[in-house]
Amino acid sequence: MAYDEALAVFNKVEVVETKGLWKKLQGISTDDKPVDDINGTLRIGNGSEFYELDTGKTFIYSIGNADQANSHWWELPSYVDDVLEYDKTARFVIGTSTSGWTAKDCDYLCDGTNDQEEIIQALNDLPATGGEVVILDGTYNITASINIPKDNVSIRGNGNATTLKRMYNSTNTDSGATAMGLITLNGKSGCKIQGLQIDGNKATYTASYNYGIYLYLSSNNTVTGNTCNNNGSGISIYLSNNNTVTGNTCNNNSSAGIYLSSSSNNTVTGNTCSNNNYGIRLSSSSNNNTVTGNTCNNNSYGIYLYSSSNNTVTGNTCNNNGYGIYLTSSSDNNTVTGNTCIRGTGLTTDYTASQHTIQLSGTGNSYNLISSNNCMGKAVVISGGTGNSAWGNKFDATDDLP
Amino acid sequence: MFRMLGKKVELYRYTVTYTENEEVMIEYCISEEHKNEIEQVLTDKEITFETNLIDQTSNEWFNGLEFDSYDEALAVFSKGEQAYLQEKQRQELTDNLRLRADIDYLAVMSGVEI
Repeated sequence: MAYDEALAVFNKVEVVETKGLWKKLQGISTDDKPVDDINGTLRIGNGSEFYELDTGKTFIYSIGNADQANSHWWELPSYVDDVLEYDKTARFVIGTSTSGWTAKDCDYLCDGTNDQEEIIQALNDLPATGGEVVILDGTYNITASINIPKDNVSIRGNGNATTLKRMYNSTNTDSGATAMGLITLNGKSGCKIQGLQIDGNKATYTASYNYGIYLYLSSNNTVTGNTCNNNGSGISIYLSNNNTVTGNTCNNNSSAGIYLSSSSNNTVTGNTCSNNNYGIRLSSSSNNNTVTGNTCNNNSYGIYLYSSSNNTVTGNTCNNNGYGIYLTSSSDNNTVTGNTCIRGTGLTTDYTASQHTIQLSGTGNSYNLISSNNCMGKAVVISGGTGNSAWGNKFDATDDLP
Repeated sequence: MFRMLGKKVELYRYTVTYTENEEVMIEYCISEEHKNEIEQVLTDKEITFETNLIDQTSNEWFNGLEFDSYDEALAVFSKGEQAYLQEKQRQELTDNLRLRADIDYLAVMSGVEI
């Protein structure tokens, strides 16, 4: 039976009978109800099919032993859902008593002290194939790095209502208790970090290696919908490729909101990075990345490329920065188009001598295309290199076409 | 040592060198005001820096000229002031000759003696 067919059935069925925790949705016989044996292992007839609907409930289409006519639907009770061994995402729920959650509400209950221990335990308890850890509303005090232990793991919070608060300093290490990220992925893939607020607590914990989320040698991961404020850097990606960083907010970090170093083919889109030293920084041969649709305001540098080539930087808003977009140190073949980089209302008087819209700094940047950007108040600055094209960038009442 | 602000050449007057994130950074400044701003930012961040004056005495002829691209500007700069002046004179002469020819043509066609 296809999923669509199953869904059509569920749209019509009613609970016609309840036996214990089982709800019979549409039935012919109760004889072939799936049963637990004494070891807690569920036995279900061959050919049974499972469906997880948007409601979060799991249903089984149980094939009768005798003939097809005895087949019917059952809604699985939650305790069966927990122990059932079939191809379904394992999920653990974490809460904290400091926000009123109890052991009945979740699988792991934190208490406001060393809260990473329960989170790490939940991660370790996931199957080797991965799974999901859901962290409920509340503030969780974190005194050691949460290293993701396996591939294909999702950590999901409830947006800014789920706060992981840094209560320690990191060191310059990629793994272990003091790894640079409050959440650290080292050599992992297929993971998703979503909907968490990571408070770097930089007023108390000032180490420059205090990153909110740190990816090291990790590929094909997704970091989305997180808030990483008051860290050394909000999201740091090192030697990691093919990751997606989207819809995050990274403000008030000492260094970068989002920092890519020696990392390629990543997508950084739709993020907000304000009041950092660097809004988004690509460094040390971070090539072939796509940086689009981000908002990087009120930073020293809105978007900063250092020794990074073949990147696409387009459709970003970089207002009221010292430098809107800044390329330096052999950053070549980059495409910088359709960005808005203005200060104030875009008048010449809104800029001091050291404030710029877009600048290619130094003599080593070549073959970059700087086009169709809104640079009202100050023209694009090119300090050297060969083969750079800067045209169609609006900076005053005249046109700037070639 | 110059930059293009849009189409306009601006000579660099100072360099401010410092190290941040283990990377050596050089800020090139077109004016004393520019240099002072950079120095103030670094001072506020408690970053040590070194400022050097760039001698542009022999390049002043180039300051403020306008070109369509940095490559075009660099080509003119590389040839030097004399070559630039000669090219400028040649261009002016060509323009004058073309203008004279246009005037003569109009005079002949209209029968006016000039």
